[in-house]
Amino acid sequence: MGSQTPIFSLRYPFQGETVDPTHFKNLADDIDAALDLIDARSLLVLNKPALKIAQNTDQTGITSGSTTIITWDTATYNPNGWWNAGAPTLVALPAGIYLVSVAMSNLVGTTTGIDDQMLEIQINSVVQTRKTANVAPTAGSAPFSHHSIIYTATPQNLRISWAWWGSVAGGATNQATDLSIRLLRDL
Amino acid sequence: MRFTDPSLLPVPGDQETGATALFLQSFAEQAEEVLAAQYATMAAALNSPLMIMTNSGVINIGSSVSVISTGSSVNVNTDTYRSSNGPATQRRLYRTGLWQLGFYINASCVGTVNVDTYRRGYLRATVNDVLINTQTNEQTFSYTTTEKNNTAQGLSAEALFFIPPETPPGSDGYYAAVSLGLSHGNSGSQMTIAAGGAKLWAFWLSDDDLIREV
Repeated sequence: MGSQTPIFSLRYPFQGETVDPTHFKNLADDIDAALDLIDARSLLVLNKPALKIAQNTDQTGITSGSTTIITWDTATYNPNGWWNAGAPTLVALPAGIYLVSVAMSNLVGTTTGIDDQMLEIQINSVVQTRKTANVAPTAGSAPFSHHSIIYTATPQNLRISWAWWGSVAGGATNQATDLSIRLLRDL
Repeated sequence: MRFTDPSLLPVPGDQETGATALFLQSFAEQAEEVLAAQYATMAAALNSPLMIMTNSGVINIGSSVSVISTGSSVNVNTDTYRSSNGPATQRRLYRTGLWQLGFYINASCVGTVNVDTYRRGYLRATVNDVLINTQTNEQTFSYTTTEKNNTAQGLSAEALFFIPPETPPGSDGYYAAVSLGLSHGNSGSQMTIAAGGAKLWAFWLSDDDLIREV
């Protein structure tokens, strides 16, 4: 018997109903349950799902003008299991809107002869955004990054690709790439 | 709140039970009000206003002779995503505070590549008075490449943008109008942007009074 509030269903007795200790307990339990819901939301606000993975093994012999998918080998922060070493090129994202940041360091073994390089963010093999950077052909490979918002209405696979243009004997090498992703909104 | 043993609670007498029931109802309603406000605040913090737009058709930008000084606008006319409590009008941002703005343009050469001429994508945001629709501030940021033998190049950049709070409080306030542009220096060829090849996004970060906005 009794009634309840419209949002969190906090139970209270009808007027005229005989009040007993159960009414107090029910109300306290219901407030507890509501506080649990708010706690869960607070935790999400403080800890929005995120990912940080890295490519520490060079990918070599990449020819000018060809697009190469980055192969990730190290998970620095992967609490939601979006990346799996068994499928190292893809990040499996739930539906949502994400901030994606990819940075290619190219700190060692620099290669001269690169005119341009390009980083792409792909969802299910379709390019969402890309960024091109010019590199002086004599300057060697340059650190390079791309940031973008990505929208997926359904769970999708995200991949990062890299391409370059120029003239390098034996092909170019991509090195030391980091990928960071943070959920902005769930849907 | 922990009630592990209800038998320890005092039981009101028959004369008091009506007042106690009324008290419990009032208590429940007040508790719900506080809980609901907290819940809504968390919901707002989780899902800030956000807008993503793109172009629905192919856009051709003429040769640099006609556009080199001002560039050409890139009409991002399709809502890819817009939050229900977010911007109310396409390419307009109504909430005061700090926004993260970003753009992407994939520009390709229709004809002959002219090596080392420039390609520049830019995002222009202006603050406007809501009531009289007058621009009070402008901020433009851009990303530039030079043309090489690869015809398609991605131009992309992000920046933070501030919309001032309404002054005085309760007045109509300001909105920001945001637009995309592309200019280039190839005098012999048009640039083209395929459908979906341009994007504009805006993500609300914060203001100084979250509760007011809930």
